[in-house]
Amino acid sequence: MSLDWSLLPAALVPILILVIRIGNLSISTLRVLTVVRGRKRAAWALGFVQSLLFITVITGVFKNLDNPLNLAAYAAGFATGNVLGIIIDDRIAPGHSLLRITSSSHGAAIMEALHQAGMGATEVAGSGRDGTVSLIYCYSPRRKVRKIKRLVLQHDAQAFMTLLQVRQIGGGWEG
Amino acid sequence: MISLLNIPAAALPFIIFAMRVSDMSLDTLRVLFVIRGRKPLAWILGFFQSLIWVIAITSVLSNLDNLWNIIAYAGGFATGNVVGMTIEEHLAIGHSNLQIISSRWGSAIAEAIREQGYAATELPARGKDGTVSLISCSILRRDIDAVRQEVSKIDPDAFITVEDIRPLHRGFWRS
Repeated sequence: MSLDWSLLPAALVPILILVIRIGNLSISTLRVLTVVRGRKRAAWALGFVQSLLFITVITGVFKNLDNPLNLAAYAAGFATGNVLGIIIDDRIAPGHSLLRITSSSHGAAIMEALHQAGMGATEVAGSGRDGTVSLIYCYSPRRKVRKIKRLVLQHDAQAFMTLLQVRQIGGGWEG
Repeated sequence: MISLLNIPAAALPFIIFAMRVSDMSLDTLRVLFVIRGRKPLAWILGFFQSLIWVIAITSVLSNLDNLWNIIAYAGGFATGNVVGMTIEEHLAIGHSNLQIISSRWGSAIAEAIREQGYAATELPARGKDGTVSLISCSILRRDIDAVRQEVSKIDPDAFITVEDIRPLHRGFWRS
């Protein structure tokens, strides 16, 4: 951007390229995740910042092509930022998930525990290899998924759990 | 490629903005098609997206003295991103599974959905306060709103989640 790369000492250039590229790519990864989830406002804001950072860093690379370290920093920043973006998204954990819990004989206890924890849960009777099983659907903020997993395992250490990516379009309640 | 030298400097930001909006809408569409496994479409969109992008980035990099060019580049990126998401929503290509949970009106909802020409599978289930119905309904994505309205007419409190699915075998897709 209005950053003047020629004023920087040559030793600093690769470090700065690396740092900006990491910022650029972590924001880009977060943006793609907002696109997939249909969150337009977040996508716009992230896209704007990402693009400014990109122009800044690509200018730096093109003006300093003589040092191969700069290219390496550019590529390493891409790879690192990509992974960092995934980690950040995991931490912030926006949105909701649908947990599907299969338990062979502790369905009722798990239901009880989920309701006491303030979660909505719906139980369906199913049949597995060794007879009746419970299939429990629980819609939860992604942030609480780990807590719920622990809660379920307390009642049935063998419970089978899967996560579905869903969007909510009506009804429901949250404790 | 395309010479932007004889374009008046004042017009350049607008041209950059317009190019960026088009290439990013194509790119966003491409990402969303990649997720859904539509290969030929992804190829075509990818080709035109990078073609426009190369022109846009070249014009910015050779005119870095004007800050407006950079802002137009980033603003076009962010806006194109949102435009792409909006286009994709309207195209609504693909299939979805609705899961509807209703405490008392399960059979009426299933009946109404079938009358509209969609398929519905109803399961008895148990919620916090007793028996509920869980209805699974696989439809084309573009029909989500129609089914949602039908459900809300009968039970405004019904809990509805949507999940993207890929059809594997048979099914009843109203066309």
